Amino acid sequence: MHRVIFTILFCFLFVYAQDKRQLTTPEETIALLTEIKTEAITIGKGSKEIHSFIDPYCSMSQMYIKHLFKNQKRMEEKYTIHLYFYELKRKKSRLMIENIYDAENQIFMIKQVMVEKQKIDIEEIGDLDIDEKIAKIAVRAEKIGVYKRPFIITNGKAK
Amino acid sequence: MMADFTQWVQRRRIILLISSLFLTFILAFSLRSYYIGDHDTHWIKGSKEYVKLQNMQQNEVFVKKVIFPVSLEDLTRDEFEELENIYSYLNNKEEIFKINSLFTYAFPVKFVDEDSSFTQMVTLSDSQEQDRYSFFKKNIQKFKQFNNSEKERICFYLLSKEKNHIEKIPTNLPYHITNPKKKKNEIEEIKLLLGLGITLFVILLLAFKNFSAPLTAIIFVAVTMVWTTVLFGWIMGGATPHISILILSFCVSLIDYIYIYYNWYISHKYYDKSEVLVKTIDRTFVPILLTTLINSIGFALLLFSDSYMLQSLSIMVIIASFIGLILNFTLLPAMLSFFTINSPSLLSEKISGFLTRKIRYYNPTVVKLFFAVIAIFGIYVIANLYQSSYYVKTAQSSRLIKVLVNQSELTATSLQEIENLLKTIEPSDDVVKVDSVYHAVKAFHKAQSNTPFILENIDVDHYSFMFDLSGGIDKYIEEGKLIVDIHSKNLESKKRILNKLRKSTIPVVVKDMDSLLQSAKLDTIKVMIILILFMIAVVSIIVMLLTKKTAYLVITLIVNVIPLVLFFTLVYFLSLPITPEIFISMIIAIAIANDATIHFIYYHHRFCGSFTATGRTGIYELFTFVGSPLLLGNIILAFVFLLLVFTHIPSITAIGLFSAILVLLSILTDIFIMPILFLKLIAKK
Repeated sequence: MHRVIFTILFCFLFVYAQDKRQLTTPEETIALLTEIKTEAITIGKGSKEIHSFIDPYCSMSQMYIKHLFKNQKRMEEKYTIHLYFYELKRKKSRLMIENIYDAENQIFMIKQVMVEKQKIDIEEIGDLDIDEKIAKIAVRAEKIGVYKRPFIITNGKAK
Repeated sequence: MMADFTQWVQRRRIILLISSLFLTFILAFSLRSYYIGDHDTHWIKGSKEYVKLQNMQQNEVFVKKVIFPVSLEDLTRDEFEELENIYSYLNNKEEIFKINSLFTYAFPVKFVDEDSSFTQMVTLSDSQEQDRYSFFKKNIQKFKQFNNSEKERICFYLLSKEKNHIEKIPTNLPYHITNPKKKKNEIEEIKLLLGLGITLFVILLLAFKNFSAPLTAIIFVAVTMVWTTVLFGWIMGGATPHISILILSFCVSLIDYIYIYYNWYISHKYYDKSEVLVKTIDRTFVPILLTTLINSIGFALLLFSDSYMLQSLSIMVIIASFIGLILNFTLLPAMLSFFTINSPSLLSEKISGFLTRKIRYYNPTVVKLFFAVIAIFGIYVIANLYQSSYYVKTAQSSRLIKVLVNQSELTATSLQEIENLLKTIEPSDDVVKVDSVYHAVKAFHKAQSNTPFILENIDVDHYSFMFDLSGGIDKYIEEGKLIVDIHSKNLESKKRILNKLRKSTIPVVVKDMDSLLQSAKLDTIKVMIILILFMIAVVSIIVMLLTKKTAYLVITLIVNVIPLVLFFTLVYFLSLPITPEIFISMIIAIAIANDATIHFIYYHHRFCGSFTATGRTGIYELFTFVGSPLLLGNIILAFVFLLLVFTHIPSITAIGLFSAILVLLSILTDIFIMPILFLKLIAKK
């Protein structure tokens, strides 16, 4: 009996694991990212383009951003990094994302929130443009199959 | 003509002596030290691998290994923290530009938080973990290249552009640093020169029971060595010769000195005092001129070699031979003209009598048996030489090979180049671990993905970005080029890996000094084998031209080959590794043996040709005028070579020991075999 349960469990895990993958081809991914590039917060002016889907409250995304700022000079010279805020539902970060998009100095705020982990008073923004921006990103993210944060894409391929 | 020349020298003996000594005194001040210690650079200069490195505008790296006798598996928290303190101490040392240790080794760690994950390269030194010891314990398998499980020790590799960097570490933990700095070379050299002088003085005094011998010998040797070294420095742009080269040049001139002095000394018994010097010069000039020519022509072959070590060996021997020739017939007669021997008494006369009896009544069966044994040994040696691999040991003898790839960034091309390099050396039991950016990418891929690592399929930009996030690929770059660290199983494995790398067509360059040195030494072996054969060929040609008799040619070949066969049999019998030092010793021995051969053959051809096989006088004279001085000279040289053992530098010690054995084997062959061959092949029936 336990063998049957184990096999079913294994198959379930396998199918589940298979789901966790990029859903679009590199070419399709690049096309989708081009559509939302203007909505991204961009760091650096380097020759190589990097697209990253992050959540401000996700510890892994925070680790990623921390490294980005730690090696900021090198990263800015070499890469153009587009940051897309895409909420992890369990983190309930929607309001923070809205506040970051609304901030006068977005990069400074990202640093405060994600690197320095400062407690920032956040408020309801109620800006339709921001809502539209977040939605636009979310639609493309779902199409691409962004299943984790940070979701880093280079040359249309994610890891 | 010889009489006129000798009289000319005698008339100007004071001016010759004073000017020679004055010039030597002046030149001695321009001499630098470091004949003993500074020999690694001599070996690598001009070598194939070193030239490749220089063409890339790269410098050699000196790697020192610090060994802590603690086990990686059983490392306690206290020991770990102490190692961490040592790492911090070493990291702050200006002379060390890089440390390869368990604290600097980067490996990928995948951090997971529910449906989020992030993989990054971490090292123990920059890890954000609160408890680094626990983190180390958790990832202990990653650090196995810094541990020698059999010997239970942890190693730090310290990289520097200076040869003699770190010597001491302030710690209570026991440690050992490989290749420690030698004591001041000057002290070693003074000891060696003092030993050389005392050996010469004592043996010559005992042999001749007369102060003229040690006095003239020490003046002659000092003048020859100073002139030779200074002239070498002028030609080679201020360089100093390697100690073995210096000793070889000393040997070349000393043998001829003893030959002349002995002849002068013994001539007092047979000739009038006024004739002694003329007779001596007449008897010795031609063979010494011939030996000078043979050594010069033979060693000139090395001028075509790429190796600086072999080129300097060549130049030094040529200079020493010619300076020796000039001084032997100017300064030496000038000095000797001040002395007179009233009653020459030599132990050698008794020895000559004893040897003559032995040779006259030699047992043909024993001789045949001896040649049969030599023939068997010869076959054994040739078979072994054909199969054997050469072995190179250095003072450092590190198992690490640092290889440079001509790429400076993490790209598909650079990864492909490293993959090609790995295909050349792997799969192999010789390789314990390889560390490079390729391996880091592979490990990162494994941490991130379940798919197999296929270079063509991976997105290099992704890894480049991720590595830049973790601080870049500086860990894998030295002087702007990507580095591959190959940890070999043992020194034999290292040699095999180096051979594979050198034979491959991949554009890789060896970077660490120890491996460069081993490669350079391996390169010189082939050239040295050619030189040994060439020297035998040259002496054979000269003998043929001089005597126009095939029998002399056969004798020359036999007496040159026998010591080599016996020596190699001994080497194989004792399972000694075939090293470049063995070949250097053989070159030294061949040069000396050629001197002896020429002296014997010249004398026999000129003076003993008419003696019959049963006649006593010919062989007795041969022993008295040639055999004895050569025996004495070779005994002195054997002592001089044995002095090199006290330098405590493995390669020089080996050269000293092997040369001493070879010189003795050579003179024994000359004394016991050559006269028998003269009687058998040349003497009238």
